[in-house]
Amino acid sequence: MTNYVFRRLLAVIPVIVGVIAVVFILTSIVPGDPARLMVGQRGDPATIQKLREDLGLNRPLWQQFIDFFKGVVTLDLGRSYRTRMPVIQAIAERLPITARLALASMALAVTSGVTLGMVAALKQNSMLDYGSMIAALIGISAPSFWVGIMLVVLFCVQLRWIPGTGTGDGSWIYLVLPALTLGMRPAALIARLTRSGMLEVLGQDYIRTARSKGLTEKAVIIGHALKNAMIPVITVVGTGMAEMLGGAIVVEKLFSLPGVGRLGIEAILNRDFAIIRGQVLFMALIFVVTNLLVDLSYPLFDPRIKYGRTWRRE
Amino acid sequence: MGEIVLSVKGLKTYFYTKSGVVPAVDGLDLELERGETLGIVGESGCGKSTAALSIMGLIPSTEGRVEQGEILFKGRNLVTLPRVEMRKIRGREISMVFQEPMTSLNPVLTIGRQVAEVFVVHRGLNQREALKETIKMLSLVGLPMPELRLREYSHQLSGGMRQRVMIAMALACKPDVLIADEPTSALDVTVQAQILQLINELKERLGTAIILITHDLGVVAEAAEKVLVMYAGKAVEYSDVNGIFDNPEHPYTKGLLASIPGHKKHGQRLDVMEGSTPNPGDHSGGCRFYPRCRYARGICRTSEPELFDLGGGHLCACHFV
Amino acid sequence: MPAERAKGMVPDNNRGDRSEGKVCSLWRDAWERLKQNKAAIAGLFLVAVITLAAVFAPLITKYDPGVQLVWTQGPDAQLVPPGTDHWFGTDIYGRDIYSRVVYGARVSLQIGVASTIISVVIGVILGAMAGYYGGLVDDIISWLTNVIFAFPFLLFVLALVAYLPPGLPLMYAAIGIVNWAGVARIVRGQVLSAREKEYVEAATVVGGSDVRVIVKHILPNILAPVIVQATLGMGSIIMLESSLSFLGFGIQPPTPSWGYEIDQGRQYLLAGAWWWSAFPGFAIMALVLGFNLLGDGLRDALDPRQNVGEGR
Repeated sequence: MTNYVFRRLLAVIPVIVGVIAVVFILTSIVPGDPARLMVGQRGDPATIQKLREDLGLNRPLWQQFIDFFKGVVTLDLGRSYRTRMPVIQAIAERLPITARLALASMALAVTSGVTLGMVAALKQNSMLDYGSMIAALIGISAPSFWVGIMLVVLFCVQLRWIPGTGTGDGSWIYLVLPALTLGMRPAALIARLTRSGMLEVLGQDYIRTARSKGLTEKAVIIGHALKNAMIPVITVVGTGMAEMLGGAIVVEKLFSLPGVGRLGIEAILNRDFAIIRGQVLFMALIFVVTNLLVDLSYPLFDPRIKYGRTWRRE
Repeated sequence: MGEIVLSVKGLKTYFYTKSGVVPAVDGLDLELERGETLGIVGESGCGKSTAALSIMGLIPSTEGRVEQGEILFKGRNLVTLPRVEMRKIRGREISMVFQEPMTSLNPVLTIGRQVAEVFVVHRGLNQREALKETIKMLSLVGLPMPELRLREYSHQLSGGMRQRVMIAMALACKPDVLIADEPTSALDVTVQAQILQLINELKERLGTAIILITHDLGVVAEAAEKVLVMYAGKAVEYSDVNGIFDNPEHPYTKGLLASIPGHKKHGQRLDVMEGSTPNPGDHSGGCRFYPRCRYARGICRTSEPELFDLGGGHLCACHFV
Repeated sequence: MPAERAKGMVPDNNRGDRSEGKVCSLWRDAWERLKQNKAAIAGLFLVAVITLAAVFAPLITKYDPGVQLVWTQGPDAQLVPPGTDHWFGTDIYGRDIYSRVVYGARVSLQIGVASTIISVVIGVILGAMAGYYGGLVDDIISWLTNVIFAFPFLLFVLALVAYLPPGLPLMYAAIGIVNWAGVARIVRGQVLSAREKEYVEAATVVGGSDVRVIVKHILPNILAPVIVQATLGMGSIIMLESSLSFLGFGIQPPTPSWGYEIDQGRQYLLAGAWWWSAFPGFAIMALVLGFNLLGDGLRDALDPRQNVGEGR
């Protein structure tokens, strides 16, 4: 078990280094001089030069990379070119909204997806099954921002159940539509996965054994089948959470939520490379860490991984 | 003659597939006496496993069902029994052990949990008491250090050990009948002998009647007291084990015994039965063995033989005995 | 003594001797299975219809997508609801939304196809190299794919295109640069398992060069999952492009792009003009759904038990 944990941790390090390198390269190859871009066409050369000094842009590229790397390790992602606020702080301010959105969406997605998938599997080939799977396919295919718009039209404009977009007075009702929008696609994926996982598990020999012991069908499904079927779902939940932190950009724009995604868009528009760098890096690292956590959680669910392949002969 | 504990009459179990109806069991009769071991022999596809599942009520309703027949157990017909009642019998009064110990245990649950479950469900014990009983059961089936086994998982055990666990689960509530469907076919030869011996010992101890399903005549010779030979969904011969081996009457049984390599001297040709296993339903009203029978006559093609009593409890379904 | 069949019984499956199987019978079998899959045919139909519409756009649209009818017809042409003249209504400039949607399909399909081709080419080459050579080559390429996987798709492409001059070719390249990783992972896995097979050993022993062995013997066998991945990937690429356009970083006006239209139409929702945002969205959904259905169908047809990725 510790072997497994150790190996996973070790494997992650080169990836993190690679991520940092890629982010750096990405934001350094931008055509044009960032300082001039920021100051604008009418800036005088002196200001531009000073800015370049301040931002350390005159140092050789590899040295900038070292600085950046050191910064990352010490959690100092630099300061916004625009507002001089530490990037970390800018992100930290916006993070709670994004996190709340991601959690709400995922909770919604998991509960609805697992339920739908299980029902579809248990009533295989019924109308309910076909209907759910078609709905799931549509859920995967429909662009989330468009669905969000349609929801706004329906619930805000027509029905007036939900007061509007943005964070409003901070009550939870403003999270409803964004969470539905963001959670739709993961819900559909989870539903499909749960259904196929469940069907496969139900065909296994150990389920027949469980039934032969005289257990009720409910006990067979919940006690024996579910744990096995859920294993692939965990992966989706993990990567889904991470994607949400990155994909919330679109939903945040749509619903005017001041989250991390919005920060990124503003930064791009303002050519605030420090923030862009910091944010992309942040998102990527969250992704890596989340995946790592998911990998590390497998042993909890699948004892075959926990105890490795030790065999004892009689 | 002992007391009859399980009696099957005219059992027909059909499967409904996209390509048509498959009559896997097509009119099976058998009787099981208390405390005896009945071996059911036959080729793959003759319906023996299906018969076992039918008795247990484990035929998935989406795939098939028992069309006709009676399965009488303790005065009740299991075919018509409501599901709730059947569940009480399954695992407690009639249990089953399956062929593949590798896949028959749940990989994500501990051994202890899976065996204790039987006690919890059928005897209403709480978790702690159930685990104590589990330890007793595990040592009964010959597993060393049963306390350690409780928290282990199936992949940590060898095939033979897993099968012992399966047996422990099946015999936990001291059932009247144990159905063992090819319990040793997936195991090494040495382990096979051990498992058969274990089943025998436990049978003596607990008085359980056993239906031992196998395609291996050696297993039958070793472990069974009575033998039922199945072919194409029906019984074709039934006798005590000596009767079958010394006086086989049905042409199929004769063919089976003759095919065992041991009889021939070095260099002689093996006796082979012509033809191959029929598909279920591949007959036209006559004897099902007709296409492969070397004694076949006209009557065999048109009329299906019943099981005739040849005296001394030896039954055979053939026109020419 | 032929066994006679009773009515409605199972046909004999162990008929043993099949006729000599040719390699292409594998594809024929797959095609047969695909044809029977109604969902897949529906998907194929959707994709075909939209593709044909895009190709023959000038023939099936009455108005030019760029023509702003406000200049010729005055304010009456603004935000006209869907009707007989304008099937999908008009936008604030009086442009016919139906024709903008149809022409928008061109953009989406172009990006989908071009990016997919780029990703597949890069992915197959790198994935095959990683799988075949192993060792350091494999380590480096795998590390690279893992790094790419660490970034959320949208974010990564966004960061790439934000500062590049807008234009289709760069878009293709940007998406291709990110998307190849998925293909490479699958190809690598397939090559790894194919490499162990005997016919590959045989080919190498006979003296084939590495490239020859890879191209002639390994590639034909990995084609199937690549095709599935490419099809499903089309769906996510189209989704990605529309998200980018929605955010304002994708295809720029005046070229009609579905995502961009959806964003533009947002401001007029409260006024009740839902059609501007709605119809492009339906189009996206239809096309992506088509690719997803087709991809699922292909996956089932090419190997019913295969476990290929879901696409992103």
